[in-house]
Amino acid sequence: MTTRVTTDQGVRFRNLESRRGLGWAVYRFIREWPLIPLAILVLFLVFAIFADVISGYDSTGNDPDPDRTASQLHDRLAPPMWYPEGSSAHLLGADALGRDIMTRIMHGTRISLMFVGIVLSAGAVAGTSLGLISGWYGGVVDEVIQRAIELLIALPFILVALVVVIVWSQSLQLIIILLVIFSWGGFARQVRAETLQLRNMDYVSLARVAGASTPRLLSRHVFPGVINTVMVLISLNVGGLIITESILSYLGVGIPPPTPAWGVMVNDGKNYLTDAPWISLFPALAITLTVMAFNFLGDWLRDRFDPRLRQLI
Amino acid sequence: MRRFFLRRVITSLLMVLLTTVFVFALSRAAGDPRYLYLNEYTTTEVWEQWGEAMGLNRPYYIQYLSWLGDALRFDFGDSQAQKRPALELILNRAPATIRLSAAAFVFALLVGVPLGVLSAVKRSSMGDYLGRGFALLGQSAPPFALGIALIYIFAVGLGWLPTGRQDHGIRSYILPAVTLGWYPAAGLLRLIRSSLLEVLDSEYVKMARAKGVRNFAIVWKHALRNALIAPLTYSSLLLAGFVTGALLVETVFSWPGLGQLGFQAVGHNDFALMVAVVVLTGAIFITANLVADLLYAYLDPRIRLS
Repeated sequence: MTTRVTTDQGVRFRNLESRRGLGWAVYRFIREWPLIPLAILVLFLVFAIFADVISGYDSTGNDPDPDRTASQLHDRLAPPMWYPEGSSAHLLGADALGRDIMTRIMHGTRISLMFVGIVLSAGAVAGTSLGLISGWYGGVVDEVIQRAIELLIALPFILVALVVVIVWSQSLQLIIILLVIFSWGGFARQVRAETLQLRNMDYVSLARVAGASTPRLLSRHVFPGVINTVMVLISLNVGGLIITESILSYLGVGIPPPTPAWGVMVNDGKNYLTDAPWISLFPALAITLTVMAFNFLGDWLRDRFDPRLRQLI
Repeated sequence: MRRFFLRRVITSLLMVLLTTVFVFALSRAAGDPRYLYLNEYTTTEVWEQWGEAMGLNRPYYIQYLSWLGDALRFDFGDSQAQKRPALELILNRAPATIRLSAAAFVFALLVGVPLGVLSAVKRSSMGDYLGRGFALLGQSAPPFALGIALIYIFAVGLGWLPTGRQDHGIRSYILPAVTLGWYPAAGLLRLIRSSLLEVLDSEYVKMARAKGVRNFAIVWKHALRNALIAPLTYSSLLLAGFVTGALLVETVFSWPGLGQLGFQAVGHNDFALMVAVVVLTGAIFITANLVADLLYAYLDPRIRLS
């Protein structure tokens, strides 16, 4: 044995380690780093970016080529390839209009990720700025912003969305604006709490004494202190936002058809569950897998960069 | 305590008031309500008469106050699609939703509490992984996807359970209740797990262990009581969450409740009905939040001080 450790304890320790071997090392690595969720997300990201390259089918079913349209009608309710009558032309089968499920899921990934990206970046920017202002100035401004957040949290969002869609008819822009309005509150609340703490820190007071202006104090001295939290909150919010978007699309008030949103696809297939379950089940699986991966990643980021948030969420 | 109590009650009332302002503003933004009744026989005089009758020639704040006055007496006007008072429709449908929510609540408690305790007490055991898997699925799958998967497995595939609708008695409650209760059960499980872990680590539990109290008594009698404060508050929020959750589950299982009513109102552009549903559910939502806060402050005096 090459070990130089002479104590009983040390030797026992080394033996334990070596007995565990390579399998244990791989297991530890997987536990420590979120590899599986990352792999799932990378896969979906590839789908989103290269959807047109991977699949030649049209995702909306409005193919200008008449030959394609004819073959599309022939493929109505085609089963996935592992069914006896399935073929590799439609890996995951086709829906009631003959549109390829796999293609629509890939395009749906693109829609969902873009949607979440837009809503979250707008919500995070608005929430962070308002949270900074609210915590820094206090007083009436703070009171107004806090009450606004409480109101937004108290309203049943999905019902409000339904009413708003009756009033201004369904569109992508409307749903984005609505979700931004409803998503900034969480950021503002957390950023405000941290700003209150940072505001009284010695280094901030010193910067102020040195003559820094309020915008400079906020952007250079307070903001860097909250950016970690904001990043973690963003990652924790992705999953919930994908679910909310899919719920709205499922109810028919989210992303308007024929755009292949996941929620719309699940709804399309719900009357075919007996004969063609793949129409609903695969998009449902896609939503669940993506959200699960994001949730995993969010938890991991939180534990790693901002464990204090653990008590809150 | 009294000041805190009063403050929270007053802010909650203000919130309900703000909700009504918001909904009223939306209803006016939707356009002139007379258009809903317009047909080919409507003359200009009739149009004006309607305006007079509905008070549309008065300033907005007067219109709002009279609408609010009616709403306070639970008069939300008539549903345009069904030609009946909106409140009557809501009261007809409410029992189905309440029964479904109650069943989902029972499911959430029966699954969330034991699994949460199990996964806290026996960390890294099979039970812990089972519990965490259950929670992960509940928080990652949207309710409609869960509902459709459950229908596919238990109704279409195995044929054990009906796909919803109430005429199958108690068995028809199982799938909708599980779908509606899964997410809250997951939340409850996670909360109980984390707070119980914290409590099990505290000094008084160590004291009880040193004294020789049996493990069962420590967990279920000494630790769980203190660990239940946060979950108890959460369960009040759960009740509020059922309001929107039911909307989705009811459309999946064609359950004749409030959620489906609201959804149909959207389909028919039935504004009065929709407004009534939103105002009432908003009030329930805010009340549940209030109850949660007060309960929390009552059970845990540390909250009031900060």
